[in-house]
Amino acid sequence: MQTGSPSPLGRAVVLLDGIEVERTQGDRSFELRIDHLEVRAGELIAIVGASGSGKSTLLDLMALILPPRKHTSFLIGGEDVPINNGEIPGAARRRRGIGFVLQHGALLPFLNVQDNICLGAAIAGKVPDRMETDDLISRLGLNGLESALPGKISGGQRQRVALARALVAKPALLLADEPTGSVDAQQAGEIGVLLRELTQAQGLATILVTHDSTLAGEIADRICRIEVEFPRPGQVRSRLVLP
Amino acid sequence: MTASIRRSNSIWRCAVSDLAHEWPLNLCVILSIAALLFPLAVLYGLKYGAVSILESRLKNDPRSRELRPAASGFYSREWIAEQLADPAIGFAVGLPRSVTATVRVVHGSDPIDASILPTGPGDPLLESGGLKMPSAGECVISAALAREARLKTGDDLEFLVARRNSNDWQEVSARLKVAGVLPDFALDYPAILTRMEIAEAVEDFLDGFAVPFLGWQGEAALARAAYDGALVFSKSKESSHPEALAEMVRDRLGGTGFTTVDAFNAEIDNREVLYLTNANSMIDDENLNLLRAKLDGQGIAVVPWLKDRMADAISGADNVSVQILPWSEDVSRIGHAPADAVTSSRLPWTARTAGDSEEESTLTLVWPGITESLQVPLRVIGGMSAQPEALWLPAREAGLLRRALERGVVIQDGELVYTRRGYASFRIAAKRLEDVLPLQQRLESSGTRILAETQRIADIQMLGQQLSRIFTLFAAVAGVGAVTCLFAIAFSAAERKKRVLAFLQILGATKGQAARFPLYQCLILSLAGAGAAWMGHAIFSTAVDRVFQSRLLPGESLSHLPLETAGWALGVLLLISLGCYLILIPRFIGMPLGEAAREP
Repeated sequence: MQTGSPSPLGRAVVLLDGIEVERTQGDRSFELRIDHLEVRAGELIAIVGASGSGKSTLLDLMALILPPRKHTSFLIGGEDVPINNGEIPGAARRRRGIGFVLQHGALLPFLNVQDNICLGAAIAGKVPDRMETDDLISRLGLNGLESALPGKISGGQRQRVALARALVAKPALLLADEPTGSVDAQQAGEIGVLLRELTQAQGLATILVTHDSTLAGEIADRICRIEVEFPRPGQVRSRLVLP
Repeated sequence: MTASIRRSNSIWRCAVSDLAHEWPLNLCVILSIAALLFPLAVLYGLKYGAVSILESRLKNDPRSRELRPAASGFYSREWIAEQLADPAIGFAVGLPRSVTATVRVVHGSDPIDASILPTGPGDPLLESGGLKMPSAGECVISAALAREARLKTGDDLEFLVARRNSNDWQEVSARLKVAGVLPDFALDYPAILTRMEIAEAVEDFLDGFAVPFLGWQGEAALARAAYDGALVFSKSKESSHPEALAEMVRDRLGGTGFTTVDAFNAEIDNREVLYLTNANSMIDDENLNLLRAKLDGQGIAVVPWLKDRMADAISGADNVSVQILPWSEDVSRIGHAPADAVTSSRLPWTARTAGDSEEESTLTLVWPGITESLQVPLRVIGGMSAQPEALWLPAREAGLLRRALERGVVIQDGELVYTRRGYASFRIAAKRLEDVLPLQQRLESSGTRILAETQRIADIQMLGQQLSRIFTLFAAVAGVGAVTCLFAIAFSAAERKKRVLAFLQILGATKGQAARFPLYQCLILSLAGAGAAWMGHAIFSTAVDRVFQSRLLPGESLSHLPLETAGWALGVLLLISLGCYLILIPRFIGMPLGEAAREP
């Protein structure tokens, strides 16, 4: 857990109250309940839990990929999320300013590092500031790799590119799904430090989903756990437990 | 640039970058589309190329639109002018008799016989070489004449015309400036195309007239008698040996101008009579004299003859239609004609017909298809009751009237002299190929058998239609293959790209924006495939044209794909591609985003 002097926290970027999410895969059903979660700007929250407990489902909910079945409050990016006919409009995702770092980087293999970084901003219809982008590339240690294709760089570098892509559009909320899952321990440490620094420096609300309790303990302001119960075969019921 | 355009641009860049990134795979897709289109392009190219070569040769060949009478006749200036008023006719000109349309061209080498062809505005011969109507004193010559006489545009061409006057030859000449040379394919014989007045001048001179504007001397020429054939029989009954007669006559025909020997279909005075003719032309007194000379001393009579009724010859005030028969002493000797001689050279002529009365009469000759008639004053004497519809005239006078059937003849100072009544033939050109057949039918309905290229035109049009049907069938079969192939390509693309499209949505693209990614790729690949097929066809076309270079004219291509057809093919291809794409849209953008985010 973060031990340095805490920075003053900003406005609430995420506010989830009375949320229920349901997902079915074949004959398996999965339910996640979140009674309350509030994440403020400048705060890094780590979500830990066993495999299949619903960590990624929680991230998909906050990434507005997965709509809740029920909710009392569903505020992302500081605004209520509209739900039309049980679906979240794509434009809402764009407007909320959500940066998403996926486990495998999820870079587009046909775009070079520079274009991958700028893609999120371009799809949002924005023109990334050249100096800020260069600064970000420099801070993430990607200098000299701008024209390289994702297939030609290491796993750690790919994660940094994914991080840069998430940050270049200046999001209010950064979602990181196992960003260190496919890199070695050293690179994992470096990525963790970067997340911590960027959260504070840019006033982000960061949600980190990880298996790595040590990393979570080192960089997170708070660590939330997901508890799982199996009421019936093929049925998983989870609940987010705040510290 | 607005945010919307920036978003579209970013999707476009992604689509293009992805194509470039996976270029080997996409090259295969392009080649497979090209492989689908190329055989069709070749098939259609060959169809259009071959047919368009035939059609363009047909269109460019000045003979294709030309109509000519199969045989000589009479065609007045008024008739020619009437034809020009027909909107389907682009060109019409009278032609002189072929025997009076040949001149000798002198240009530094041996004289060359050349035909004089009158021309005029709209003449397809001139159009085939992009040449203008020659001015006065100018001419256009055929490539054959230019080659043989070593003449070129700008040279002076001198030609000679010679006529026989009694036993003397008169030769005159004229000079024309060569204003142009026809292309090789237009005419394959030496010919001079010039204004009508030159062609008429040559014909007039050969007919004995003076041509003042060219300084050629002459006078009105007396008409010469002409006959359909001659009757040949033994003068005495005792020496009549029919088979020996026919054999003897055949042996002596050479050089006389007669070509056929038949049995006369009427027996006269119990003698066998032969009927001799020339299959291609009429007989004149010179032919008769040559034959008589060959048969001299054999006791054989040679008399001129006219077959059947040559015209509606109306005699006398009571308008009796009669058949004119040539009287000669030998015919009267065998009892086939009146016994008395009816000889006169000046008008009115003496004629014998049924009855005993003697009266002044007028013989009116009316020819089918000719507006004018000829009125000949006669002194009719009776004495022949056996053939009431026969009008016996001395052979020469009857022959003169026979000549009037072929040539313009007028009475001048008591003699029959030639005059220009019109033309023996004509050249008419339809404005369009489609007009040739109706024109041929119209002209033939008035009794003139017409030569035209209608069968060739119909054959080529039929070939084009049949090939279109065959290739449409091919195209339909290939179309089924194209749909299958393009659907397979699109399906495989959907499977490969659905995760990319899910990523784009995770990054903020709407479903509609993400759907543009495969749309752009679909359009690019289809266009590139069509372009590759088109290039393949261009290479094929060039190669084929080189192989058959010797058989092609400049500008011709054996495999030619019209832009319009290529455009249609591209349109159909894009429609099929878009159809496949639209069917597969749910597959392209239907991947759950969460699933896409988790998959490695």
